[in-house]
This record gives sequence, structure tokens and C-alpha cells, in this order.
Amino acid sequence: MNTKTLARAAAVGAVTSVTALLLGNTAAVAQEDTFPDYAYGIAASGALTIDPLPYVASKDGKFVGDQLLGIGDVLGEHEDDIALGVLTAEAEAGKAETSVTELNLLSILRADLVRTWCEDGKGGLEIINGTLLGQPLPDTSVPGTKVDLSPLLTVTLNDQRRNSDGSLTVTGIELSVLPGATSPDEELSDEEKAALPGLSALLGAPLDAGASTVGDVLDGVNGALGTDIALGSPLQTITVGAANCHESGDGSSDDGSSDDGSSDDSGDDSGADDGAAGSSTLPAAPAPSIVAAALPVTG
Amino acid sequence: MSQHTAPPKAAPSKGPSRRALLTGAVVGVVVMFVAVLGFAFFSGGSDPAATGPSAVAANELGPAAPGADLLASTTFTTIEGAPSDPNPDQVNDGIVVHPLRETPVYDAPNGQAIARMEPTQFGDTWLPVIAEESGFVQVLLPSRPDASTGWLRADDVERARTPFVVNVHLGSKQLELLRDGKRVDSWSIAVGKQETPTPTGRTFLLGAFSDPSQNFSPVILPLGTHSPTHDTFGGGPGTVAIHTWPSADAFGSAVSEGCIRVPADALDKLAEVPLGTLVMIDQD
Repeated sequence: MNTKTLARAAAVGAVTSVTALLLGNTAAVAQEDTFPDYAYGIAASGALTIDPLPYVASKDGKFVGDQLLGIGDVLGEHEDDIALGVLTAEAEAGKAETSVTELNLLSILRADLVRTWCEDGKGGLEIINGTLLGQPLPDTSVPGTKVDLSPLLTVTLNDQRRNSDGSLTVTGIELSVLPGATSPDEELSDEEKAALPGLSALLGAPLDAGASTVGDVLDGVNGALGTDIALGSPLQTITVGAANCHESGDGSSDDGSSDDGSSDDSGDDSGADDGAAGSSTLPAAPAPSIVAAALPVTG
Repeated sequence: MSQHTAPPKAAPSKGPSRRALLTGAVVGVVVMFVAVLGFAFFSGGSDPAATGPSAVAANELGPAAPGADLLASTTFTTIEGAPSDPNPDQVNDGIVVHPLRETPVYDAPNGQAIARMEPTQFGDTWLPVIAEESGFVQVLLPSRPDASTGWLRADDVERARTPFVVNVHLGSKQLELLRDGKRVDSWSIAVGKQETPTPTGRTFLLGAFSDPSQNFSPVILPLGTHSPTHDTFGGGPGTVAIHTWPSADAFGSAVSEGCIRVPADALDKLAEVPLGTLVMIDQD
């Protein structure tokens, strides 16, 4: 089993770290039911499990930081498959940020720097020299950019979720292996077959290069690792960078100015529906893209 | 929208050398302490060794995010506590919004979260804005009950304007396409029969999709409303849609299960109309 614990990670000799706040009184200080500003550099679940590292959370608004130089001990035999340079994570009131340098996930995804940040309820992702399967990564300015190589792989960049307490969670990179496969009979495409060696490396499981279906891959993984992974959830998920932050203060003063509606005039004259932001200055709504879907309608 | 690209003037990541200077003999102890505490917090106190393979997705390891357990507002769901459309006969000024990120749906500005709204449903989600207040926009929802609305944070949406409105007249069985208030075209259509009527009120174009198992129409345009009589239909949630029909003899009559059947040339034009565009259905 490849599961490692944080306790072991913490013992890594190469680790350097400092916490501005020594959490000796965490239990007493912890405010129940508050969702902290937090950040972490990497986490994984599935055949290979990495608990969030380094993970910091600021529950009382004070600065907390942590840093690791590699996570070789956590990776163990996978050290050659997942390469990481320096991982930092910092959080304080209204702000969280994490960065990972010299990232190489199985040569599938590489980047010199992945910085995931969140500040005052806004956030984003910065990637320097990022490539996916040797190709430059797409623009990540739009939240939730997804590269879909399903059924084998999906990579989601800059995923953002606003929580009901107003905090924003930014997930920098999430790579899922076999993300949505539902049938073991699903055929692998040529591209996916070509990626099998990389998958073997990721999972540390020698997979049959002749595998032609999702079921073949699963059988290979389960056989090699002694696992019992079923379809329906990703076989492996790796997250690089996550940051959650609240708005500092009320933040009401800049409401509406972060998006296009800067002229937030209330004097619109189109009836009782108060359209703010002069509609004439808005871009034209796009024509729809026709997608494939299975929704029985009333006919 | 690209406002979200530029990182703020965040302090540059501190380099390891600076950190190294600050470390010292206590580092190992501190790291161990914080890591263990961090994990205990993260995992709800469970034994780290119990975190087995295929436990939970990595980004779900943390404390449950507030609101993560709320239902998404989609054509498949029913959202309790969603305010009803206060002006179901009124045409808005064409503002539509697209959620840039998953965001809560509130029952009022700064109110209670009642659902989640996702950026994509049938392609990108676009919803009509019917009011705006205190940094929030009120939109029509695609979920049941029909004619329900909710409030989204204005910071979390991209805005655009559609010049179109679609009028559906159940009495005369006519569909009109308006652009900037002027009629572009109109067609004779088929609407729901008496036992399975097409619902009236203000709704919107929710999506445009093709479905090989519903080959009566090359494209189907689901609306943000549902059949009042079919809780489910054919395995679906009773979503009312605009689509064409293989035989022309139905047009001009009330024969459908609730959907709006239109001629092929009407569908061609309507499939170009932006999502979020209002569809006003009345008894005229």
C-alpha cells in the first residue's frame, strides 16, 4: 500500500518549515463552525494517497506559513514519477496562497511554477511554463478550464467555488485518472493506449500495454496493487494547489466594480425591473453551442 | 471575462533560503507538531492511517465547505424556499448572466443559501436577470417549482445582453421571435393538450442539445420550466422544451405532452438565439 501519513512526511530531513503561529493552543482557540482561510500545495487520493501537504489554516486571522522541499518520503517508490521542488502554503485573514515549483506529474503535466492564490474573496491560478502532454497549457484565466481526455484523464485548471459563507475556494490543478468511466467495456482510444505507460508509472503498477478497455486497465491496477477500486469515482486524483479565503471586512464597497458593470446606475428606465449597469454597454450574449445530452423532454 | 487573470499584488512567494534562515533546531519539532495538528483538523480527527485508497477526492479532504451539501439548481432538482417570480408577465431588459464559478443561490440579497448554481448545465449556464440589488442579481431558476427565482452574487457572474424575446401564445398557437422589441418572424406551432398543458409564465432558453434517442428533432431547446402534470416524463423531470416534429399536421393544434413543437425553419432560427433569452408563455 502506498498510503503514507503526514507524520512520516513531517520527519523528512529535507523539510524546512516555520510557522509564525505556533498552534499550541489550537484546540482552545478553534472557533467551531468557522471555515478557515487555508492553503495546501499537493494532495492525492486513490491508488496513491497523499494527505494535503503542506497544509496551513488560519483560524484566527494570524499569518500561518509552511514550506517543504520536496515530498520524497511521501512518494516513496513514486519519487521518480512525481517530482516537486519547493512547496509553500500561507494563510492569514482574507488571504491564502500556495505555490509549487518544478512540478512534473509523470511527464504528463509539467510546470516551473504553479501558484494558486486567493485574496479578499477573489482568486486565480498562475502557471509558468506549463505543459500538458508536451503541449502548452490552455489559458487559465477563466475559472474552471477543463482539458478533457476522457475516459482516461481530465485536467481541471483554476477551479473555483464560492461557498455559502462567502469564502472562495480555488483549486489550482486537479488531474483525474479514469474520471468518469462507467463501463468496463468502454474502449480506450489510441491516445489513451499511448498514455498507458505513463499511467503505469503513476500507479506503480505494470499495466498490460495491450489493454484495450477500461476494464482491462482496472483489472491491471487492482491486480498489481491488491486494491479493489471500482468504477464510478476517479481511479486517482492529484490536486496541485488549493487556497480558500474570505473577504476581508465587509467588502461591500467594491461590490459590482470587479466585473464589467462599473457604471452601476440605478436610473435605468426600462420598467420596474431595475437593470443596473447600462445594458447598452454590455457585450452581446453568445449564440448557444449545441451539446450532446440525454434529457427526455415532454415531447 | 478576464478580470480574474491578474493576480493581485501578492507578496512574492518567499524563497526557501529565507525560510531556512528562520528555521533552526526547533524546526523538526514544529513541523511535526503542525503537520499532525493540521491533519487532525483536516480529517476530522480520524486516524491518518485509516485514509485508505479511493477514500475521497483530494479536494474534499478538508473541512466540509459551507454550502457544499446544497442541491444544485438544475432542471432535475426541486429547490425549496426559492422565491416566486414577482412579475411573471414582465419582459426584462435583456440582461443575462453566466456564473463564472460554482456559486450559492440565495433567497434574498445577503440572505439564506438555498441551492448551488453551476457554470455549466447544457453547455454554459445563462440565466435572465429580473432584478438587481446590493451586489446581487435575481435570476430565474431552471429548477422546480416553476417560476422560482434566486439571488446570485454579482461578483460571480459574467453579464451580457440578448436582444431577443420569444413569445408563445397558447390560445392562437403562435410563436413569435422578437428582436429589440420588433417581430422578426412568427410561426404556427403545436402546444400541450388540455390534459397536459404547456405552463404559462416567464421562463427562458436553458440549453440547446441533440439526443439520438429523441430523434424527432435534430436540436432540442429545453426551457427553465416543467410540465404541471407530468412530474416525470420518459425518465426525465418533465422539462418543457421547444423542438420540431416530423409531421407538419400538428402545427396549429394542442396535441403535445407540454412541449412546444415548431416548424423546422423556426427551430433553425431559435437555435441561434442566446441562452437565457426570455420565453413568455401566455394564454392569448
